[in-house]
Amino acid sequence: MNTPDVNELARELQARSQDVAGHHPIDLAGVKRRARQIRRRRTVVTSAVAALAVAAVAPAGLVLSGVVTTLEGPDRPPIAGEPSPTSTSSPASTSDGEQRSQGTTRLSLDGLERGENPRIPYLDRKTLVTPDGKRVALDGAYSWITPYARGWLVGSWGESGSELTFLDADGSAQRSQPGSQAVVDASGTFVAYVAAEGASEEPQLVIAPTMGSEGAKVQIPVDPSATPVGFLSEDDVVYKIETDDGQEGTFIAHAPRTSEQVPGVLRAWSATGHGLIAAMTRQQDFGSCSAVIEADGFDRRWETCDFSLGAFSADARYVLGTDPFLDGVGQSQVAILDARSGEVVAHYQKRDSDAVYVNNMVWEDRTHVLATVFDDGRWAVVRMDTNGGMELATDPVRGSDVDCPFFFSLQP
Amino acid sequence: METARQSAKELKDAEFEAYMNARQSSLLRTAYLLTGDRDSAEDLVQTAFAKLYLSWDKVRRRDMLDAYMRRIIVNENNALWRRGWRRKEVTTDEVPENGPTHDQYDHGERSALWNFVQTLPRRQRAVIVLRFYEDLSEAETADILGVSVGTVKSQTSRALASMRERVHTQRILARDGEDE
Repeated sequence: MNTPDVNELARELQARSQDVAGHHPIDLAGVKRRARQIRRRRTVVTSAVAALAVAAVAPAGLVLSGVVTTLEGPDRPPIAGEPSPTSTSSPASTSDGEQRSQGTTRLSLDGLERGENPRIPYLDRKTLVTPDGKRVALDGAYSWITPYARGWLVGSWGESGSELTFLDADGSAQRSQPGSQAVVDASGTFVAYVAAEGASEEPQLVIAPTMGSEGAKVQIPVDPSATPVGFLSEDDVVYKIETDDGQEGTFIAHAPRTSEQVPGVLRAWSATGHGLIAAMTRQQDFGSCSAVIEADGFDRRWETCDFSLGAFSADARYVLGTDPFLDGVGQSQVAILDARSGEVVAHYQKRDSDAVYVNNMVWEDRTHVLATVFDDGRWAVVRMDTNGGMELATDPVRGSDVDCPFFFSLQP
Repeated sequence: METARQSAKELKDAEFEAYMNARQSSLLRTAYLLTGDRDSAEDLVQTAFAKLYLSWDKVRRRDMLDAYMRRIIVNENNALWRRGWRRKEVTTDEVPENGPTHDQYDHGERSALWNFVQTLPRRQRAVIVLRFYEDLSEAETADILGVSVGTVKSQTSRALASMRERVHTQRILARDGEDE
């Protein structure tokens, strides 16, 4: 039973609520406009981070000290019929039965066991956490990070669009400029982004070494809406355009100055040094179709309308998939697809009634995927694998659904 | 096929619009109590409707729409407060056409209560609005806020203790002063 003063409070709230009584300021057109803004913002963040994840483990020394101590050699293309590489460790917490059903694992944080911390550098709000547990405090919160010069290059998304910030080795911001999301090449020695920098006032696709002098940049003129999605080689970068009037396209920038359009596709999702491009081929009201395409000759390997696509694994054996309709609220599923055939290798899906979604995902190594998962007021990094296993890679933290606290470093 | 898709879209819009028109006034009142500002409340509710529109096809239980909207509104309000630029975006210097009304018969008591509510930390304020305006149970409030029932109890208790100290004590002191 309420006390008199609580009743008084309730009456006051009722009275004050009448300040806006009978007011109907919101119409469907305004809601749809806002929905488009939300969808665009979420799509940019999600697809860009996914596109950055062209797999391969970043050597810890690369990020920590700025010195490349070990680099994996170029991976050979996948061979038909070859068995999958065995994983170094597989999440084992997902028990068969309740969590898995007919090959699909329920996407949820409930009941997951705690596995290892992420084996790649990641951002925990304003802190960079490296695989050996070192933590570097940064000046701000960013949505990706990669080593650059003697410090770092980070990206963020604000009111005025995407922004690049150059940090020193201590994590202090040195300068910022408008610029696109970035990608790194297979060896981790080059980064590509779009910005108008230097003497040029026109946007350029910039290919810059991640170590050493900034003077060795290559700049290729591109459309202002261009965003790189992946390297095919050190000199060839796939980028997408999405102009204000709704035009979409995928191009390959060839250093030093030319670009060629990839025919028959809309926006690209990702590209790999193994000569493959994942791109959207058709967009529908409530879905889309995507294909994996050979960069040499543009032949389609396969097409699916069940998923939109993300990053390729380091050996280009797998490619990530998620909802075919990116509704801006977050993705309800993660699929690991065979990059040769499009066959579903592992599938994670939220239950209809669950308030669960995936914000971004990245290949941790050739058989493991890290994803930031929101589950009813909690965020965590979850590790998934090609066998349908799932475990926590961070402890869950409380948070709003619109503020993902975890983001990943760019993976070559 | 194209026609079928078009009619599905029109059906979705019609269904959504009917819900929006029916519920926006009520949701706006809740948002206003959470924000204390008409413009921010409208922005908040519009954003919540936009998020609902995007996930309309995923929401299977139409009887849960109000609960879903409340959850979006509360979470989004917290996010709005965290994001300085969003506040700047929606708050203007212009005086709204219909500013907050003042009850001329409340002898200052209700204004003091309203002023107090607006000074509460956002989570406590959400608890107070959900519990005593929406008349939700502690469990329902906890569900929306994504916290335990114990947290709802403690936040409620703290807010009411502040209210008793800051509003009612002041009223008594004020009346004592008048008596003199």
